[in-house]
Amino acid sequence: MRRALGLGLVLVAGLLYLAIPRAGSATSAPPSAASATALEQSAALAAADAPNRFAAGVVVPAAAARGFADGLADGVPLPRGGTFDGIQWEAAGGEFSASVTRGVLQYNAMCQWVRAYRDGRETDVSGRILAVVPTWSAWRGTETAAVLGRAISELVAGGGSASAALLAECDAAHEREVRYAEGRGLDASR
Amino acid sequence: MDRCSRRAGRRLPAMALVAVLAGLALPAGAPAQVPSDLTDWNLTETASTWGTSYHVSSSGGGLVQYRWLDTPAKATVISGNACADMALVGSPATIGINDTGYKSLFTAYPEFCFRLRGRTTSGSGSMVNHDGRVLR
Repeated sequence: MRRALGLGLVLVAGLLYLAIPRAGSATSAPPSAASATALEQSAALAAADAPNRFAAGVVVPAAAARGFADGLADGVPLPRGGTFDGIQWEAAGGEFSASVTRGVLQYNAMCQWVRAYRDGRETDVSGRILAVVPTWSAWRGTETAAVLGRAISELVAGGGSASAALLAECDAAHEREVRYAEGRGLDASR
Repeated sequence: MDRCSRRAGRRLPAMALVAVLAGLALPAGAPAQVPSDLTDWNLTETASTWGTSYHVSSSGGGLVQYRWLDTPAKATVISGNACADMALVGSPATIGINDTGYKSLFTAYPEFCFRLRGRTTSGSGSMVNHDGRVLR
């Protein structure tokens, strides 16, 4: 009798295991083509040489910075619905070097991935991209890499003061970006 | 109890009183901003961005200030801009000729990422290889 009861419990547990969808099952599915591209771009940024942040290089006036940034943005991954249209090149004025422009694009993209992860979007790749973000070329070896490393570690572990600060920063930037992009008739990021 | 021990025993309350008074006079946990130096910043009349980004420290109370270490030969305008979208944060500081005092740029929460931008005032020409310091 006791043996039959034990076998029954094992059988029920087995059926529950098969019937209940398990957390993390989404990450085991192969990523979509767009997500695979984002992963490749993220890996490429992690492998790229860190720029000389003080080299004169190419410098463009603010009025031309949006087009200049579009040309540099091809290799920077964004979540679906993401854009760089809310960056305030024109309002900031002055001029922008290629190094600074890449830095702004990468930081803006990082924020979009942080928000995507928090909001449960693109769960097949957002966590994997965030794991690599602290090694992206724009801030490799700088204080920013350390700050992002701390905040992202906290975020994926469930949250903390550093991840809360980063989310607040990215949410505030997103609100500004939506206003700025819409005010110029451009597509705001999701 | 020998004479030395008795003398030491009398000193202890006095030392404790000094420690208490010192504690009252010096505020505990006073903000300690973190300094970072900017070496050889070249400015023109067109605003440009310093090469590295900075973060507000967790120990400094959130205030970000800037000063020239080398006496500036030109009037300059320095601002803080958000790393994420280059939006101006706070108000730009106009720093006069020969002024090496700290100027407040903005206040933000710890870890906030910002870039420093600078230019000389209109009609004043360029200013090369001047060192500055940001307190954050």
